[in-house]
Amino acid sequence: MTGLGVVSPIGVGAEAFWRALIAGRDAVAPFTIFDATRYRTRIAQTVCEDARGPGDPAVAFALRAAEEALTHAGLDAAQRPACGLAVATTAAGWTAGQRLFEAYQTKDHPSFESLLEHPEALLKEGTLWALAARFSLEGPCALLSPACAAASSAIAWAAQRVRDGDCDLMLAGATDALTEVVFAGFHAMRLLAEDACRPFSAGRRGLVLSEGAAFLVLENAAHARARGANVLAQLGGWGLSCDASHPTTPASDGMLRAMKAAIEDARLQPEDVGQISAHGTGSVANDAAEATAIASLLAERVSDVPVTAVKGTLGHTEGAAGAFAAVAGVLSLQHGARPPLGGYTGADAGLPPLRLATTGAEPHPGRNVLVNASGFGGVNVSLFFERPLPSATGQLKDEPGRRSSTRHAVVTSIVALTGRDGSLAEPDAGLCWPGGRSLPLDRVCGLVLTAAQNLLGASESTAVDPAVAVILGTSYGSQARHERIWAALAQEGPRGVDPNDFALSTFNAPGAALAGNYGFGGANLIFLGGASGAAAIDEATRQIVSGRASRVLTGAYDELTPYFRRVLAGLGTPDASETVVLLVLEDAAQAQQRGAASLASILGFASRCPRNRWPDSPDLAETTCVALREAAVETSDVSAVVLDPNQQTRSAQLEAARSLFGPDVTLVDLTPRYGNSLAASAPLALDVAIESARRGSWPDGSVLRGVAAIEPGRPVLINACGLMAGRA
Amino acid sequence: MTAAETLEQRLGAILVRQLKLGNASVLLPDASLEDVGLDSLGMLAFIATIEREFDVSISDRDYETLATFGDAVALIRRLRRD
Repeated sequence: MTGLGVVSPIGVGAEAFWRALIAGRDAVAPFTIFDATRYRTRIAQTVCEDARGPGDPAVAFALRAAEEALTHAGLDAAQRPACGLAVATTAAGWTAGQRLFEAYQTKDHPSFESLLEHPEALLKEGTLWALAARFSLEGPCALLSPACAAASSAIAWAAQRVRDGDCDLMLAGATDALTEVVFAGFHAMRLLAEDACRPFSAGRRGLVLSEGAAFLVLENAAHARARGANVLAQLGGWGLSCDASHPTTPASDGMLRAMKAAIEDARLQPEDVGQISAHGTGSVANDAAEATAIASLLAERVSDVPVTAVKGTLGHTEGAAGAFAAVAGVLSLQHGARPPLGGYTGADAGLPPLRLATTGAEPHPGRNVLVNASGFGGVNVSLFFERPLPSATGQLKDEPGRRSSTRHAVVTSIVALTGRDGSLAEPDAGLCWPGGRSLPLDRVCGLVLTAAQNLLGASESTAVDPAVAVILGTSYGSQARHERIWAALAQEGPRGVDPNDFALSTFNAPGAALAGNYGFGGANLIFLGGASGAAAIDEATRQIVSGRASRVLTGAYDELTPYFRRVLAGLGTPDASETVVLLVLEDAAQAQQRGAASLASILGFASRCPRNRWPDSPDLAETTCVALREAAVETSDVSAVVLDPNQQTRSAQLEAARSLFGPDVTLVDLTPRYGNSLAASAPLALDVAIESARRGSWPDGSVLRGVAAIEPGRPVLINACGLMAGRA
Repeated sequence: MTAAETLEQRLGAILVRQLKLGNASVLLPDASLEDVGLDSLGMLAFIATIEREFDVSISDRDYETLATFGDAVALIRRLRRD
């Protein structure tokens, strides 16, 4: 870590944020962002007006925090293009998004069209694009949204790219703005405290919603040394897990697995842990499960190791929570101090006796901080930050990345659900969340589970296997649930909001349903945007190559509601087609051992930040070159290029292909047959390529130029692009 | 809803609908809401429906005291009297 940046209700700027944390000074107050008088809870923590800016406040927060982090790291304009970008958010796009939905419902066409002129304020990809464009970032990029563990997931994603040697510099962080849809959802779930957030306290009554952005600059250790950067801390390890059980009630075993994996990744032991920064939401269920997990991790040291949680002072910044806790963890190591546990009013006799940081700020001489984050769907991420060793001895840990790994990933099965006339058949109406008969699955979860059943068969056991991960991509996710919440708010007010709609509204809900159904306890990640299916497959590959998972269920999906179709048409994608593609990637040696045939190998991948709303020809050519280099494939080896379906990029793709591969390369266009499968386009291209290689030729009508025959064993290049989402 | 329908019958009907139960005969006053199939999310949905159908507002503190079918009946009776 060489740079930090924060925009928060308790302080704008990392140092102001730190001073408020140390003083335990919160900013809980009534607010005016929307009319809260209809709710039982009427308080939150909001960022001061001058930091909100015009447009989507989530974007304004992100730009300001990122600027601080990059400047803090000492990266000038010339150095920034080398930097990659990992962004997490849950609520970006929903401030203007609520207005867009209202305009749609009331048939206010002028407002609807006018709002669509600014997609950066409507789509989460807008944050990615705004950051990349403002700071000229040109490295690898990703946009993630696994609920309240999103920020920590983005930091882990960025760290893996640095460790793997893809990039020396990464800007990673998260942003979320307070929105009524989220407030109404937590309210319906009775998770909002009426006065204060009191993590791990007796009488805690829930969380206080908050907002802001926090960003960190991650840097390869040798790179930081070479340029004489001030190293604030190092991210020694990280661990991701999924409870694979209840959609919203956390389980201690999942949290414990994430913490242990992070410590093991840092090549340390639980005995080495010096401080824990808990997720600590102040909800009854979270704190009980997390206290149990921490007590189990620390064993006899439970009364020695201090435990704090920033939410007692900061409140809950939703998807950005992990980034704030990470910044606090780094500052804790840098300042040698531990912030107090805000809001604490007394011990809960029902919890294990943790050494809670209840006596104000204290020195923290420890060498590390373990930072937890958890979210709906049972996702957990732990980040293990360590104090850098004194520069006199010089050595930071340089981890061997995937280039030194002997593992490689192969596709052993794949299934694609493609719709007639752009819509998929309705899933079985009787599908329920595993073990929860009162919680029927919605359409999008049903579609994804149906594909999984086609791929894996019915679930035989729900015993949790921590070596199996679920890594998916989507454009729209579960936002049909938000449509329902918005409609309920407009028609009936807060009382009309169905708590189940919020419980299954996070982008990771279908992936979590899969994990729960099959007992997949490894990482559970969701990438967003038009190129997210490709990003998911890349991350799945790395999970296997790095040894974090032996098998990954990956792919992408999109449910197209009438509203989302209308939005897509307005944004220039009238041919969107509902698609779910799932595949199993597994360790080649394991596949061979169990006699599973390898259908394909993922040879290489590259993604690049969005420079413009849509990539141009040089953008695409450059990204392709990196992917070919990663794959150790010559341009002459490539047998075909499968085009991304977005028409806005068509001429750029054709030009890039001609410039790299000459005029004779086979170009495959799947849009006549499948339309635009959005996030699932790249996984669908993989499915078609595998089937075509088996049959010996590409499907009729899909070869735009070149030969229909496909030679098994020769590489195929698959393009993926998305509006404001970069290219892969 | 008919005029003759009792509060118990109306509440029972909500639960039968939500949980897709065969009938409401299991819903004795002592019946634990958890045992009849309401997990934490199911309980939230049940109470949200009650708030809408009976036009009452249930505080978080009242919500936390609800354990049995009889508790729910008594709470609504009290809130409607209030």
